[in-house]
Order: sequence, then C-alpha cells, then structure tokens
Amino acid sequence: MEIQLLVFEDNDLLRESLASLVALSPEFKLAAAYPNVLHAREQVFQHQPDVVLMDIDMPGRTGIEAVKEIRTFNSQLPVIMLTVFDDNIHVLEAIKAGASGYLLKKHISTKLFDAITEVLEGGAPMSPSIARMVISSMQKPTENPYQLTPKEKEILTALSSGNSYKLIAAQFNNSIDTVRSHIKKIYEKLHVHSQTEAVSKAINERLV
Amino acid sequence: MLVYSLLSSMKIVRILLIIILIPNPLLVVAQRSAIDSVLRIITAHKDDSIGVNALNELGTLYYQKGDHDSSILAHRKALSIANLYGYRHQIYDAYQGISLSLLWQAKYDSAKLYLLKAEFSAKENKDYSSLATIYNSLGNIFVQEGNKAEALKNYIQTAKIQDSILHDPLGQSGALANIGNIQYQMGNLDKALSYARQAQEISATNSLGKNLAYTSQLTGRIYRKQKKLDEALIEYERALKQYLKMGFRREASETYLGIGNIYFDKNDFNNAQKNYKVALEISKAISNVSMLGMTYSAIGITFQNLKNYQSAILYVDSAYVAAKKINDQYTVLDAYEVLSQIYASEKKYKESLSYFQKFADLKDSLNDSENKAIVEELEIRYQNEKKAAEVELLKSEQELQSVLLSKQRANLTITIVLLISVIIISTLLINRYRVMNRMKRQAELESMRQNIARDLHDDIGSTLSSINIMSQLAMKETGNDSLQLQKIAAYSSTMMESMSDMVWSISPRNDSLEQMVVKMKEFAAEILEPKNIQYDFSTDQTLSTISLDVEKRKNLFLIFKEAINNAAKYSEASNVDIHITRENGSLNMLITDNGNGFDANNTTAGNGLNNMRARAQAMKGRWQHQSEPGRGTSIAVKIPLT
Repeated sequence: MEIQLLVFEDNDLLRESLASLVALSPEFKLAAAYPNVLHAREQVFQHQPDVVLMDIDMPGRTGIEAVKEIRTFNSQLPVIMLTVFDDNIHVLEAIKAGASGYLLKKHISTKLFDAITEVLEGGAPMSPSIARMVISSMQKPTENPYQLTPKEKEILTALSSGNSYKLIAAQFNNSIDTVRSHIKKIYEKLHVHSQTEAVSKAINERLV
Repeated sequence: MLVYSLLSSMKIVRILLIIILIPNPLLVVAQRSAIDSVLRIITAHKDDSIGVNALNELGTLYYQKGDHDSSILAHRKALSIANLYGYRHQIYDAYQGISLSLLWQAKYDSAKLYLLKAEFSAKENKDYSSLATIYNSLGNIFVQEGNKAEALKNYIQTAKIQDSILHDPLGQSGALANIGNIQYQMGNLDKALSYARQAQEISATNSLGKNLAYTSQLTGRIYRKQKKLDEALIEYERALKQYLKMGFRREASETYLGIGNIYFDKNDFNNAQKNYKVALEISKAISNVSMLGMTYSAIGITFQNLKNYQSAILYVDSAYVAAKKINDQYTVLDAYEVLSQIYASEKKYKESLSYFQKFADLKDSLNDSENKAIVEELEIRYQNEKKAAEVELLKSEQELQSVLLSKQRANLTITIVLLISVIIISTLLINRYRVMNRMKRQAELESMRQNIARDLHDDIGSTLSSINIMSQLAMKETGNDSLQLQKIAAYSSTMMESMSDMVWSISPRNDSLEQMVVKMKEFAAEILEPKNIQYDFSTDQTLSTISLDVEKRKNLFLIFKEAINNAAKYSEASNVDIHITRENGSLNMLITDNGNGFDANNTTAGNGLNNMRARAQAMKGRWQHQSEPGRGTSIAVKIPLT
C-alpha cells in the first residue's frame, strides 16, 4: 500500500519537480498537488492523504492558516511544512498552529522521503534556530507558557546552542530515541498552547 | 473638374448659411432662451453699464451650462468695457466670474490671480457678500492644492463675514460646511460632524436645496470615515436625490463616487464599480478634470481588490496622469501607493519599491502635522474672537456693564495665555510627531524591503531546489551519470547552501561569535555524524562576549568548513577535535583529526590549504598546519580581536 501524499506549493516548478520525484518512488504516491490552500479543507477530505506537504508562504491564504483549519477536523494527520529558511518566525508559528514538522527546501532532493517516514513514525525534527525561537517566545508574557518540564527546557537550551541530537544524547546520558521523544513532547505542547490560545481568543471575542 | 467641385462646395456653403440664418426650432432649449435675451440686451447696450452687466450675466449663464471658455470670453469683454469707463462693481464681478470658470478648468494659478484682484476691488467697494464668496473660492483652490492651512484661513474669513456682517444663512451654512470639510480632512471627525450638522440644519431650516445636498454629502463622508456605513449611505442617497432633482451634474458625480466608496468599504465591489463608472461618465461629459483623477483612482483600486491587475494598472495610471496635470497631490499619492502594491503582487519588485519610495517622499512633504497645529491655533483664535464679539453684545445692557467689563478683561487675559501655551505645546508636538512619523515611515520601508526580500528568497530557493531535484531525476531516469548533470546537482546544492549562509550572516541576531559556534556545531554534525566520525566540540565560556565583524566571521567559518570537509572526505579519520578558545587579545581555533594526514601530491587538498592560509591572512591572523602520514592533521588559526 503506497503512502498517499497531498502537496500544496505555489512555486510551479517546485510543485512539478516534487511530483516527478514522488513518481519515481514505489513507496509513495502523489494523490494531488495544488498551488494554493484556498480549498485545503475540501481537498483533504476528498483525497484522504496519509501525509500533507505544505509551503508556508502562499498568496491569498498562508500555510499557517491552512494548518490551523486542518487541525480543527483532523488532529492526527501529519503535516510537513516546506520552507526555505528555518530561522523564520513563520516556522515556529506553523508548529504552534499544529504542523508536525518541517523540511527545508534545499533538503528536499536528499531528505524528502526520510522526513516523511520520520514523521509517520512519530518523530519531530527541530533545529537550533527553531529551539532558540521557542526559548525567546517563552520570555513573554508569562514565564512558562508552554508548561515545559525542566528536562524539556534543558534539551531545548542544548538544541539552541547547536548541539545535535547525538551530542545531546551523550550530554544527558540518554539514547537518541529518548531525546527524540522529548522533542516530540515539546512539539505537542506547542500545539496545545496554540489551541488554548485559540480558545481563549474565541471567548474574548464573544464577550466583546 | 475643379470648377465642378468649386460650384458644389459653394452650394454647400449656401445651404449652411440658410440653416444658420433661419431660426431652427429644434435648436431652441429652455436655457438658450435666457442667453438669447441677454445677447439681445448686449447688442442694444454697447457701451453702458447695463451692457456690461449683461455681459457678466452672459458669463454666469455660460458658467452654469458648463461652457467655461465662453464664460471667460464674455467676462473678459465685460472687463475691458468696465475698465474703460471705470465701472468698479462690474470690474470686480468680471474678475469673480473669470476666476470661477478658471477654477472649474483647474487652472488654479490663474484663478488665484483673478480672485486676488477681485478681493482688492471688493474690499474697496465694501462688498462683503462678494468678499465672502471670494474667500470661499480661494479656500477651495488651496484645498485642491493640498495647502490646508491657507484653505482654512480663507474659509474662516468667509465664516467671519457671514456670521458677523451678513447674517446670511446660505453663506453661513456654506462657510460652516467648508470648515467641517477641512476638519474632516485633518481627521477631527467629531468637530467635522458638528460643523456639518450645523450647516445641514441651517440649510434645512432655510430650504436651501443645494446646500442641504452638499452638507448631506459631507455628513455622509464623515460617517464613512467613522465606519458608520449605513448612516453614510442614507446621507449620500439624500444628497444624490437633491442634486439630480436640481440638475447639478458635477455634484451628482461626486455623490456617485461617495456611494461607490461606501460599497467599496462593504467589500461589495460590483456595486462600487457600478457607481464609480457613472461618476466617471459624468465627469468626462462635463470635463471635470479634478474628479477624473479621483474616479480613475477609485476604479483602479477596486480592480486591484478584484485582483484584475491589468485593468487596475490602466486606471491608476490614468488617475496619476489626470492628477499630475492639476497638481492634485493626494490622488498622486494614492496612485503611487496602489501601483506599488500591484507591482508587488505581480512580483515586479523593482517597480514596486520605486513607487513606494515616491509615495514615501510625497507623503513627507504633505506632512499634516505642521498644518494641524496651525489649524488648531487658527480655530481657537476664531472661536475666541467670536466669544469676544458676543460679550460685546452683552455690554450694551446697563446693569451688567461694569461686571461684564472686568469679566471680559479676565477672558482676554486667559485667552492670550492659552494661546501662547497652545503654540508652545503644539510646536513640541509637531517635532515629536515629525520624528515619529519619519521613524514609522522608515519602519514601513524596512518592512516592505524585508517582505520583498523574503518573497525573492522563496522564489529563488524553490527554483534552485527544483533544479537540484530535476538533475538528480535526470540522472536516475536515463541511467546517465553525465558529468554535466552531476555539476548541475552539485552547484545548485552549493548555491542553496550559500544563500542560507548569506541570509544567516546578514541577520543582526547572528553577529556574535556564540551564534557562529552554533552554526559550526550544526555543520560539524551534518558532515561528521553520517560518517560515524566521533567528534568533540569545546569552547570557552568567555566567547559569549565576543562579537566579530562580517568579514572575520565569513573567513573563520569558511576555514572551519574546509577543515571539517577535509577531515571527513580525505583523511579517513575516526575522531575530530575542535577547540575554540580566547587568549588575551586573540581568538584561537584548533582542529585536529587522527586521520591519514595530507598527501603532498594531492592538488585539491593543496588548494584547500592555500585558501585557508589566505583567509587567515585576510583576518590579519596566523595560520599553522601540521600534518604527518599516520599521525593525523592539525590546523590552528589565531586571529587578533580588536
């Protein structure tokens, strides 16, 4: 059974290249590719993909909004954001909106299938830049808005200073898998944070 | 042949003469009869004041028809005769008439000239009602030119005359409406609404049809600014009905424009466009140059919102041309802004940025804060003079005379003190506002640049990635590992790395040595871990205080990259050690591995070494390299920290 992919990417050339790349792999199949996310909801319903690949910056409606919408009716569907740079605040926002992970566009040709497989197995990639952004977003307005445990904070700090998963594992005397699951936990807390934010925002608006 | 055509053309001329000389009943229109009767008076009274009056009257009739060239001609004739015989009142009437037509033709400088001449005559004649009209017209011109301070001065003059001398409800409502208009443009919406309401009431009470329409239009405009769209629509409809009933086409077209704006605000673009197009047709028909610019602009912006960029650009361009002709700065400003946005949407960044800069520069020169303070000051002066006048009236009552005298003195003193403090405060506010405005605009420009940069990078990054993917697919599909395809894959990959590095190093967050170490660790992990090479990365605590300039960062990082790449590719090492430390005034980087050492015959490695040496020297640092087959390699760089 092939893994069904749904792609949202506004750059025509990249969308076509992705299609060709997937076509060459026997394990994956491209269900459909769209240049915008204006009808993402219907399209996800229609194609029932296993994984969604989504560009962050798109005209008309951003990937972040689309991810938020998808999470309102499907909290399990893996969504991988495609982005050129990972030190872009939008990546953090996408994660908080519910993205399962991200992939740098410069790594597509070499790491696309690994990234998809990793996400399907429950993994969640994080880079030093993202870790640093999470940390700096924790300074305001409350001390610990994501309710991270001390261990999670330590791992986040280690990540932000550039240590790889391997180094962190060595540093804390854990296995790499343990480190990975910690990071996955951090992701989930980022998601929840955005959900609670969304709820309180809604309440505020109704009160107003 | 020639004779025949000559004869036939003469025949045509004869026919035409017959048509002209015999009064053609089809040509008689109601207005025409008024003009005819005036023309008859003129022919009867060639050189006296009645004739001159008639000529001025003729000018006014043509003006009402919208035939401004004829109007100016008639007034000019009146002027020359009146000058000859010294008919002062008629001279000034002619000046007035000419200036009004020039105003409609948007020849503002000439209009001003005649108005100032008229002002002089009117003052001589103590003709206050004319004076009020003159100041009003001058105010209108200044508004069109964007000089609000001068405009308000003139409107206030009008209001003063109306209020104190003339007690003319028509004039007064007009003056109040004009002040309300200026207040609206300055953004003082509550004041504007109160003036507009006052004017509306006076118009309604005195059954002043046109003023009622105009003040309803103004009120509608203010409601729109306050986002009370439904109320605004009601006022506009009221105004429109009145204008159409009275046959005032220019004003009707303005109202259509206003209604279009409301629909625009409601995002009902189709209805907006409908109303705009009606406004455009009327403006074209009556050659109302100043409206053309605004209407084109409105249609253009609506197309922009409908994402029909081609049509949008066409209309906005027309708006720009029309507005530039008559020096309508505000429409030019709008045009610049919209064009910048449209080009950005079409990813034509160069054009977009150039229009944005034009927009920013023009906005600066139209800075409202200067005008705002002067407007406030003038308004206070007007209100205070008004109050002083009212107190004067009370003075006439005997019993209160002495009490009121002292009261007035106190008022006057307080007024003067208030005025001085207002001037001081407003000067301080102006400066602060200006500085903040400039910073805000720079921030806007900066954010726009960053948006453009980000879009560019997204495009470039996506395309490079595609090239990389396609070259790899090509190699797989054809089973052809051609060198060219490999190069394409390699270079596109390198380019994406360089782009990442470039953007990373530009960001001000990353100018510390600490951040560079983060990057180095990432790089080391990426290269060494897949090959299962153990590595140790140790750094001083003190590094967090050091910051390096861009050149040094670049060179140091590239040396590092080269060294790690060598260790991974050529040395077959199993262990790499990296130490970055600080020692007095210099920074040390030491990279050692337990590999094969350098082969002296390997030219690629040799080039790499030379590069590293050159980079170290560029940093005014020292470079040392030790290598022995079987004993590993060590590379040391020491650079001064100044």
